[in-house]
Amino acid sequence: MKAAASQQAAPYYLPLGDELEVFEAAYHARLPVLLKGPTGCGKTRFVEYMAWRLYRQQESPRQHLAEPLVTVSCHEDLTATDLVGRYLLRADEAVWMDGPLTRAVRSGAICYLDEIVEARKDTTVIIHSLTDHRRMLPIEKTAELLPAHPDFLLVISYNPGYQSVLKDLKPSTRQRFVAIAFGYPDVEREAIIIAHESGVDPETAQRLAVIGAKTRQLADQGFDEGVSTRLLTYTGQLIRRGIDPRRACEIGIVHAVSDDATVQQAVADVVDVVLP
Amino acid sequence: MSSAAVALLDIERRIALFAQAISGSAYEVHALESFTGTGVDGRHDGAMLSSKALYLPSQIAAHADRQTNRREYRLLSLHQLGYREFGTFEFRVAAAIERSPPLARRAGPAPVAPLLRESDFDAFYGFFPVPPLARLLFGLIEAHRIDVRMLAAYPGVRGDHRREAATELSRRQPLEYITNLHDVLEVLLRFTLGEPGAALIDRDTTGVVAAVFTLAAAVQEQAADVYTTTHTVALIYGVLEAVGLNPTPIIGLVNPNADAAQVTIERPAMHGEPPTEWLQREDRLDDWAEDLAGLDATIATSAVDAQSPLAQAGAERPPEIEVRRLTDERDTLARRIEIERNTIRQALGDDGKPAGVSFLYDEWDSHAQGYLRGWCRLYERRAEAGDTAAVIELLKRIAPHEQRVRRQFQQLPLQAYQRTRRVLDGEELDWDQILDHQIDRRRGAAPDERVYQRRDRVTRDVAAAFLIDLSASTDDAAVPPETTSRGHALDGKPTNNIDDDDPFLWQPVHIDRDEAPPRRIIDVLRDSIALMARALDRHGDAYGVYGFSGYGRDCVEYYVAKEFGEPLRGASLKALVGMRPRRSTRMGPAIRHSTAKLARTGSALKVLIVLSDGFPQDCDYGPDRSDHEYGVADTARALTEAARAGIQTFCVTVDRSGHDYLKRMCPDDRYIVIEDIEALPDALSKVYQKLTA
Repeated sequence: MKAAASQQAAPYYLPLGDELEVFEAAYHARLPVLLKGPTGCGKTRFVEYMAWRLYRQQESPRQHLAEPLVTVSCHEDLTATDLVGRYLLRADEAVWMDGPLTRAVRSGAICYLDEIVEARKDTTVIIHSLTDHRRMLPIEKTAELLPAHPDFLLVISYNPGYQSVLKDLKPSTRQRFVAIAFGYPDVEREAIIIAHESGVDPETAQRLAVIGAKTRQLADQGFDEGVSTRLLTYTGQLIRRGIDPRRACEIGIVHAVSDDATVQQAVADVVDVVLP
Repeated sequence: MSSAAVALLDIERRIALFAQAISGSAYEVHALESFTGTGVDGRHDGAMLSSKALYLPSQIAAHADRQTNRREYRLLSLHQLGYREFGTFEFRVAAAIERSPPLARRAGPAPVAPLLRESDFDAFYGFFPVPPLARLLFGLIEAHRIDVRMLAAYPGVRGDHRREAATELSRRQPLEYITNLHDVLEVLLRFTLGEPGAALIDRDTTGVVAAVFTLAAAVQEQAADVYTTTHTVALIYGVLEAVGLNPTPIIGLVNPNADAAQVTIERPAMHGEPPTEWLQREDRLDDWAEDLAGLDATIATSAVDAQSPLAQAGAERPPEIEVRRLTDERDTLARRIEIERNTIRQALGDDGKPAGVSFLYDEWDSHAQGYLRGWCRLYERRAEAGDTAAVIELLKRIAPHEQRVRRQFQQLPLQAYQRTRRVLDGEELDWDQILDHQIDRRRGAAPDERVYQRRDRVTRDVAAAFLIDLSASTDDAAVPPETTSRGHALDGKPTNNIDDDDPFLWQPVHIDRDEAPPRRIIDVLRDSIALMARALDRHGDAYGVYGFSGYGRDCVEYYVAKEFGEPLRGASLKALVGMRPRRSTRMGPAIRHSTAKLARTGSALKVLIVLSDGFPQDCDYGPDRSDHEYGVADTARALTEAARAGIQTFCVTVDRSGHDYLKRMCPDDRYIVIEDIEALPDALSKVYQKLTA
């Protein structure tokens, strides 16, 4: 669980379609947003960028807010208590401490629940009243019914690629959000992103993007989605820091995408032919 | 085989995956010897691309180390795939004429006639007086273009390419002087393999080599496409033609063109022999299919218009006649597509095996007491979709039993919560611990900081694969024991009066005929699996439903109705009802494939349940078709392999003589013989619960 630090400079984000306009429209209508897309395709970066656009640009009336984006990386042991808050024992008294969701609801920040389907089911229930006309957060332990700040927005993400019956959003939850679908960028734009994020030269970035695109064509062969833009960027960062490109790809791509030895060999072959 | 030699069998899957990554399409990888097409002459040391397969030498031992031999496989594959990646087969002769004025002059003003039984390449070669020479030139120059594009896109193979080109150049006969057409073509090939042009030009006595090299260099541009090649061929042909096709000193021939047609040069193994014309014809089928779809749309629109009184009144000729004309045109085109597709299949050795990804599996030879490596080829594909009405029928049939099975599954809680007290961090304060904490603090003792309690989730992590025998015998009627008449269950009650505790339904719900067709074994298997699937879908365990059949070791068919993680909805339900009796029962490879699928789920508890109606058999399951022991032994081995991979296996058969062979295939507690086929759903449910409890 983390809170994004106050940011002055815009986080880097390369738009792939009309997602900026769609998100802004949803924010102004205070419609909860669901971001769907494969792992490492830029969903979290997109939310960070949108938080900057909506809260940190000069003309924004919300510039005063210290923490415009509250991000929670959901996991299977995340409970409603973790989101809402709990009593802490301090000296002789039990003190209530807001959780990240409550903090965002009070302050008017964007609360981003990353990979929501990973969390326990009780967490998805508590967001229901926040995502309809009520915009309320019931806090059972303090017997409080907290109305959301007018600027508050809830954003969740999930990855349909590895969804299963166990890890799927219920229709009653899903239908409270407008959904923006993300995919991996095409080779040209992915190369621009890799070059920017890792600092490698454009040609190396292009080669890494080609490896990414080729590897994704094996998606039905032992791994779900292929190599992510994030992994390609990590690989670029290793190369930028002097690691031999083939070795960097071995660490960042070949061993990361699959445990199937033959798939690894085939991906290594792809890396070997694409790199000079 | 030397220790450095690499057998194709050892790296077949690796190359197939590599080819898929490069091309985006699934390719089978076969040894060249196995090519059965009639339209192409392959060479044993080269490579060849077909519609769905990549043919490669069965072994490469040219180099002193395994790695280099393996890399040669990769280079051969990449060049062949390059023809598809860099657009060779997208060639259309009309576009070639448009792009090349010298070609347009040869083609003449008349439009190109519709091409039947020949490729666009054949039409292109036909513009030249000696088509085989044009074909030879095209082959050389296009291979060079593919190499250039390949080396730019995949610079990692430049070293391999240099090495193979040098080997090829050193292998060819030395050429002292260039004196005739053969020599010109030979040096053109050498030029494309990287031999310095200047040295070759020095030996030229024909006076055309320098010009030929300059023209051929056009395909070295990165923007060069297949039309650059055909334009270059037209120009080079013109240069050769200008000196009489047979440059000096060959004289005295009555028909120099006839001689030129005989000229051949041996192409390098690294370029293989792609069946360019056939693959172009195959690519062209897509155009024809588009035309067909366009005609269908036009016919539909015209048929609607024909109903309009305005159309009836104002049309030059009656709309019905126009619709009939279009329909005739459409039918002719459809027939043409079918004939063309069959011709191409025959030429390329495509025997209509299922399309899709294929996998090689070893087979246990009980006679030799050893594995036959890569013996069976298994094709995985989605089961054909049944229709919506069949899905509705199935759901109606199983509906009365769903509640019962679901109740049974409730005894297997998907997840439970366990309260853990005295922890440093948790959801709630533990007031007993807080009291102790305060007491300790006040009496000056070090308090225990573990004052929270939390609920830990205990989750089932199960993946189950249901593997259904789709052999032809599952088409037989499902005969219940001691049944006196069709349509009555054991107790003699008509089955349409059943309640929740009755045996499984014997007849379909909707019967429009006087007498319902007998329920077949496949119907019961399918309904039982559907019932299980519906219960599991609600319950939450991960599960997959697969069927298998096939004919022969080279064609084991594996049908996917539902994959792990896929919800049981439209497509998977239709695929389930679409499962039908097919051919043989080669169980070993199907079990091995299911084992691989289960292993990939990473679940803590993995279960494989095989449903069959008889012993394993196939036309070549062992040297003697009447010897069932071979198939039983291979299946037993496959089950043992699965068990070693940590998979709980269980065989369910509705074959009443199943004890005979099942006791040799698996331990006693790992199989069940269902005497009354209608008891299968309950038995299956109990088996599943026992395995996963």
